[in-house]
Amino acid sequence: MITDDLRRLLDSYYSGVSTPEEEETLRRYFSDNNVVDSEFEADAAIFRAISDLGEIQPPSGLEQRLISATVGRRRPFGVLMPVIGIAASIAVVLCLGVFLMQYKDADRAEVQSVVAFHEEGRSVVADTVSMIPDIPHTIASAVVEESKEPVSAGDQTSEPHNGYKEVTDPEEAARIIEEIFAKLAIQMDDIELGARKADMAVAMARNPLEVLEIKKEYKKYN
Amino acid sequence: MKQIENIFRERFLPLYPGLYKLARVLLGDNPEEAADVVQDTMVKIWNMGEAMLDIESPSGFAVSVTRTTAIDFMRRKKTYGGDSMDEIQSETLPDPDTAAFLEKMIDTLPAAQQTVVRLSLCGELSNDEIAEATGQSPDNVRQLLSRGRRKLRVLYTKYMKP
Repeated sequence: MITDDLRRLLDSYYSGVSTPEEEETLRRYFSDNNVVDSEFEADAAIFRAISDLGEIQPPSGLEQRLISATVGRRRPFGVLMPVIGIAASIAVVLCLGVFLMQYKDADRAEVQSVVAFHEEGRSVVADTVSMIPDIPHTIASAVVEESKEPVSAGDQTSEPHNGYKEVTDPEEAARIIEEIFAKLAIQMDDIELGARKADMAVAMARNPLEVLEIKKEYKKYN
Repeated sequence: MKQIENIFRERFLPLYPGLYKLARVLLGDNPEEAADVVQDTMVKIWNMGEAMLDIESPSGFAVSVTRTTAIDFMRRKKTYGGDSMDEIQSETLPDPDTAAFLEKMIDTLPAAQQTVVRLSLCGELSNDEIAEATGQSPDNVRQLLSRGRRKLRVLYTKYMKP
C-alpha cells in the first residue's frame, strides 16, 4: 500500500468516518506487514490487537451450558400438558353438571316453596291485620305490604272487608287479640323459616361448590 | 416440540462462537460476562418457541439480540466509566499487539466513548447502525469514535514502548 493511501485511510479511521471495509483493509495490511515505518508503529499495534480479537475462542463447556439452559430444560410433563388441561376441563364440566342436576331437583323446589311461604305469609298477615279494629291506618298500610286496598281502620260503619266485624265484648276482644298474636307468632316463625330458606338458596347459587356445607349449616336451625 | 428443538439446534446453537466473540469485544476482557450474554441470548431465542420458525436470518437475529443484551450489561456495570491511568501504570501490561492490551486501554476511556469504540471493533457495524444501537445521533457517534480512537493512539504511543 502506498504511504499516502495508508495515511488517508488512517485519517479517515481516526476521524470516525471510515467504513467497515476500509478498517478491514487497514487490519489486513498491518497483519501482513510485521515491519512498518516508525510513524505507524502505534497504528500497527492497534490493528494487530484488533486482529487478535478475531482469535477469541469460546470457553470449553459453553456449548453444553447453553444446551442445559435451553433444550435441556424441558417443561414438566412435556406433551402431556395439553392432555392434562383437557382432562381438567372435562372434570370441571362434570362437577358443574352434577351440581346443576342436584339444584334442579331439590333446591329449586325449596326456593319455590320459600317464595310460596312469603306470598302466603303476606296474605295471612293482611287478613289478620284487617280483623283488628281501630288500628291506625298508617300501621295497617305498613303491615299489609302488597294490599292494594288500604284498610279503613276505625270505620265501624264500613262494609265488612276480608272478615272484619265489630267487637264490643272485652273478653271476646281479648280472645281475638290473643288468637291474632298466636297466628302472628306462627307466621313470624314461618316467615323467618322462609327467609332462612331463601338465604340458603342465594348462598348455594353464589357458592355452588359449598352446597353440602351450606345445607349442613341450614339444618342446624331447622 | 421436536421440530422446534431441531430448528434451534441446527440454526441458532451453532452461532454461539461468533456471538461469544461479539460479546467479548463489547464487554472487554471479561469472559464470564460474555458467556452470560451468550446464554441470555440463547435462552431468549429458545423461549420464542414456534416464532423461531418465522426468523428469516438466524445469524442476523442472534447478533442483534446479543448486541442488545451486551449493551444492557454494559449499562449496568458499576465500574463503567473508565479505569484510572494510575492503575494502568501500577500493573504489568500485556503485549501491545494483543487483544488484552487493547481492552485495557479501552477501559480507560470515558463511558460513552467505550461503548461506540467497542461496537466499532465488531467490524460489522456502520456508524448509522452504532447510532441506532446506542440511541445516539450519527454525528455524535462520529465524534465519540474520533475522540476515542485518537485517545487510544495516544495511550498506545505512551505505554507500548518499553
